[in-house]
Amino acid sequence: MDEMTGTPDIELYEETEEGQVALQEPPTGGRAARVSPPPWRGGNRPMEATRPVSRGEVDENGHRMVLVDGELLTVVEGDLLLDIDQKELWQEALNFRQAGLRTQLRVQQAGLGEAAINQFGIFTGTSELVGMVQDGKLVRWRPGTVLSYCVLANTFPRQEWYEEVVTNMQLATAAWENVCGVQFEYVAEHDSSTSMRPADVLFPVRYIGAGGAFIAASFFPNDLPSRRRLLIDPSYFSTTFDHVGVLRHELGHVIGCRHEHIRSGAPPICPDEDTTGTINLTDYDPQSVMHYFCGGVGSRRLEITQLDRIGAQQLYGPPLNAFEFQDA
Amino acid sequence: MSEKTHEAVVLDQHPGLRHHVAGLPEFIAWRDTLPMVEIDEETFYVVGGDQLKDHDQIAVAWVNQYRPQLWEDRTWMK
Repeated sequence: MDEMTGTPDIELYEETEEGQVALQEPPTGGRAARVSPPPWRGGNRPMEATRPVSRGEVDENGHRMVLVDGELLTVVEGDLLLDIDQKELWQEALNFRQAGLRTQLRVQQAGLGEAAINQFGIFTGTSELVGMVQDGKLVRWRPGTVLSYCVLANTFPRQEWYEEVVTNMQLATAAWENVCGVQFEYVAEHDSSTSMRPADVLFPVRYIGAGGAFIAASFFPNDLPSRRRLLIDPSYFSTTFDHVGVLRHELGHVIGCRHEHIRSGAPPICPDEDTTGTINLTDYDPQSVMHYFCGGVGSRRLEITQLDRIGAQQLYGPPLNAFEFQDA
Repeated sequence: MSEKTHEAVVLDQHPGLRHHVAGLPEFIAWRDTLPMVEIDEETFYVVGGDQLKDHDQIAVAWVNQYRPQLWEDRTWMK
């Protein structure tokens, strides 16, 4: 975010009315339901039909198939002709769109719509967790935001600790980039900065002696810009938790995930938190990277599970490296 | 983006609630169980093991979690 202009680089993400149509399968005859591409796909659309086509058979989903210049194409949305690869991508986009709409329904069912916001603007529902909701919308970084960071070398009392954090941050950020459409950037030239808040990165990673009050601590997308920092306590270097896993967990907060163990399905002994403004993105996952090691569940490895992947993709879509981006 | 937290804005919209909660013995007792850290000359409470919250943020969290009726109960109004 550019603090001088006040341009926000987070987005309160909300599905549109238009998208509700896509909850139903596209009709197989006549004009298909219009399915907007998800935002992470940009404005690219498959090629549009520009010439008459001959009638063909139907595919396994009931979409009409036609032969054009010797190539078998599928007709979707009434007037789009897709080859087999494009059809696969279109179906993937549709699936994610529908998953997003199911999330929207969960939001509504949880009472996160206007009806559940009391006259003071305070959410009074009792829903639970993982994702974050503010003003009735999911909280995430705006599409295209690069989550740049540096590791402030001068704050670390030992060179080897600094080097470990540099390495582990690269592994942890890559882990999230490999499961959903977020993008981190390590800006090493700012590691030598003497400022606690280098201007050209979204957040610094800093060592701080917090007396073991935490192993590491981070921030959420809707926290104040001045509080965007990932803090490392000395206990990080001696904890029996996986050190990369601790950073995967903290980066989960950075992209908008709350603790998994505050859900109703978690063991009661797990730490309690205010669950206002939270929303389930997936089923309860006791092995989630966002779950503490408590009540006999959780994992010291703090790995990103398949359910974590699904939840993260509900917010950010598939990994960016899954696409072949085309310039305008 | 505002330089006030969402929680600060909410409390500003409820004149008197911030002061009322800060004086409640139950809130004080709960707050005193939270580890405190000072970072860049700001005091934070550590909630949930790794989340840093300022006083307004923990006040709102406490009301949400333990006294949600205070959002409706206007007896604390000045």
